[in-house]
Amino acid sequence: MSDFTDTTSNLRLLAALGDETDPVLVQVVDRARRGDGLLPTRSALEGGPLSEPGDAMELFCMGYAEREDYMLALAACEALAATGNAAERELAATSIAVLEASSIVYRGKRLVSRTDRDADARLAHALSALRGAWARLVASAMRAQVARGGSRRSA
Amino acid sequence: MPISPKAMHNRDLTSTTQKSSKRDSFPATQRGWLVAQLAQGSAGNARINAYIMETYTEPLGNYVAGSSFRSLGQPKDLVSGFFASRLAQAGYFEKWIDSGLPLRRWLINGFLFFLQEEARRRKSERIDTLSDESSFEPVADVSSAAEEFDRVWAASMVRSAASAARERCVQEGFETHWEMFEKHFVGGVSYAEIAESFEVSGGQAASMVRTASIRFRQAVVDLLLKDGATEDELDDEIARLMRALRP
Repeated sequence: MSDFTDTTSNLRLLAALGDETDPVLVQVVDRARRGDGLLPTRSALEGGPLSEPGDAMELFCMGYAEREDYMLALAACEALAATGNAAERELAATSIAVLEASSIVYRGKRLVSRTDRDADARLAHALSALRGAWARLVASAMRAQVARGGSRRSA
Repeated sequence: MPISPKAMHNRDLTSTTQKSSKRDSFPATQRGWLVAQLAQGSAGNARINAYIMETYTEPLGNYVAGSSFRSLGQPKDLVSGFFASRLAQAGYFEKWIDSGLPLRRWLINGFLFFLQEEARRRKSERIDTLSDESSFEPVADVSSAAEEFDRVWAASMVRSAASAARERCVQEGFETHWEMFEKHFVGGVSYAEIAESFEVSGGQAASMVRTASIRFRQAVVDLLLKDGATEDELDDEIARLMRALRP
């Protein structure tokens, strides 16, 4: 373990006090840690903004979505994030991370994150709330990032 | 038999659920700790002095070692002399509370004053003995000295907070969580790579890193509150310290 004698380490530690990505996703991680049972459910995920362009499972989990489908779903997520209550904002943030994962896996590119490091944090945070097929999709996206060298050590 | 990271993550979830979210919240004090100690008389004063010496000796010593005052003597001796001359003064910390300054600013102001006094005293001693010697008297610009002290204090504070948070993680059985936290935030290793090397899921990696980062945040907040920041000022203080640390 480090003794943090250099300024760069000190700065990086202080930076850890900020939110790494969408602050709502940090709340999602905290819910997962506490196990308070208020995480977005599978039916809420599949019936939420991801379903705006059609069947969310077919489009985004199985990979049939076109560019327009991503854009429609993303717009619906952003609208919910802007107007929804706390639970709906968490659903929106998790849904955006799912779209990001789907885009990385099936289109080979990020949808919303500015950097690979942002994408890595977004996916990992969302994954703490997901189970089943959606969790496998996000885990695949994280592996794909590593495989293409996207999440290189760049802090 | 060693406990696997997965089992530790599950234990972490159980532990945090049982102990409620209260421990994740900020302590509800501002200058409260020092004020409460002052109200306890000599026992409280002794605790304050011990805290001040433990927390501020290193940054004050680092400051003087990098300043023109280093010619006055060993940094450790100068800091000890400062503490000896000031901490026993009646009403020293009551004056700090009245000043409204962060404690570190109060101490560096006092330390500069002490160093100037010390420089003058030595100069007059030399003049008495060697009247033709022109003596160098170090001077300090209070504003730049405060900036420089912010930098050395920030580095010292971050190290202390990291040490306290690491110790707490170890005590609570979250050593692996701290190791992941360091790898991610200091080493820049991605969650995906951490998940792979520790054989946990990406979500578990994020959750375990978060467990350690909350403890680090609490340690930083605790030190900032003791230094005199109010809860409303914490984010600004952290931003100020980050600016001070930037090269």
